[in-house]
Amino acid sequence: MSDESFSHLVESHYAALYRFALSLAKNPADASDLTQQTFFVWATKGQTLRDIAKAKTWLFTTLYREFLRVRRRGGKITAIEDLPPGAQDVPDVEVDLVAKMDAQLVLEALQEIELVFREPLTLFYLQDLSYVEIAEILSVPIGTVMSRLSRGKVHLRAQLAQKAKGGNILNFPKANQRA
Amino acid sequence: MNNQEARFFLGAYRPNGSDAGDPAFGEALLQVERDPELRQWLDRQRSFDAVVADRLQAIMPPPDLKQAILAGGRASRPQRSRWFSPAWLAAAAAITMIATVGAIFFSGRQGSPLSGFAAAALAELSSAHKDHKGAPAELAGLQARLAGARLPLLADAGIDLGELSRGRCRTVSLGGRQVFEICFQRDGAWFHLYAARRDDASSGATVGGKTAFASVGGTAAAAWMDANNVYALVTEAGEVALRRLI
Repeated sequence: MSDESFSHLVESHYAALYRFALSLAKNPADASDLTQQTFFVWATKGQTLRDIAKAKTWLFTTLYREFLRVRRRGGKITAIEDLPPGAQDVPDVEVDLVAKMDAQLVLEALQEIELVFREPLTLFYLQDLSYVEIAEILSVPIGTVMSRLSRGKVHLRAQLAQKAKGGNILNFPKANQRA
Repeated sequence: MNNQEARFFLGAYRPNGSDAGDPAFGEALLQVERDPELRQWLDRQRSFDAVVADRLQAIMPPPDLKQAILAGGRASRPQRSRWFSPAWLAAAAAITMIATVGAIFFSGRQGSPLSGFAAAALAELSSAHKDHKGAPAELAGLQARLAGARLPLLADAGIDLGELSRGRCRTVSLGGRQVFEICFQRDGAWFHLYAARRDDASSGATVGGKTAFASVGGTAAAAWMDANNVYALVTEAGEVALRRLI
């Protein structure tokens, strides 16, 4: 791949990858490292990808795997397949209220959601990827993505509601908690 | 499909409408059309999703991250001769296609960096070169010099790439690399000289070593290098006319 093509690839995807990494890693330094590591892997291996149209999915998958690899090394990952259904009576938050929040506050709310929901939610809100691509990146069935999106949004609304009140964050089910 | 199932599906429906063409949402969206309550729910949901997505998009990476990635990528990618990059191979493929209607031969060291450069220049002239209009006036002196240069040309080309740059010389992309192209007439025929700075990757051939030739039909190319630059000279006047100059 030429320098020009590589620059174009970086320009097209690095910001979205960084946002995904920031949501996962929760701090800018680790997010930057993850993003850079993803393109490093591309530079050394990704050029063998035959279908360049799949580069975006490849990059997100690689970043996600790198994140899991790093966390696994730190012993913080606990396998989990699913969680009990989210409580449906969590406080809701009005759209107008969220619209008044700045990006940092919304990001903080997102970061406080358990990883199992945060992963698909972040990819969904980046809007670059379909639910099918999200399922591919996270290596879970499509139905699981939909389920986690549905319940993740309930959790996100609850977190945002608490942020709006300026109160403490709600706790969610701890069983098998992953992040 | 009931409303509960529709909500389950539509939770994955992106607020920017990217999924509008996805048939998987078709039935759920039909249900929305039929049920005003579900419509209200979807409107609220999409408004909420749009605001969250907007806030997430507003998060900007650190200003130096992109440059760090680019620099890291350059340092990390497997090194190989630019003359044998995929783009060169694409140029070679173009040559192969042209060869179906004409004979192609290489002499000199087949597969050498210079052969690759000659083949790519040949492909460029055959596929992309249009006319000689619009050549900058600043280059008229150089064109005249080449038209009257002592032969053989490869001993006397002495091209100053800085002069080409200052003269706004046309550049073309050969193998992902910018190469100057200057056209001049000699003995009534047009010749096209491609010039680029030598780099370590093109040092497979030695200065003063063999000149590489390539030709397709009536179009012929030769490539050589001096201490500073690598050159390819291409003409549609045929190999005999080309060899006369070099």
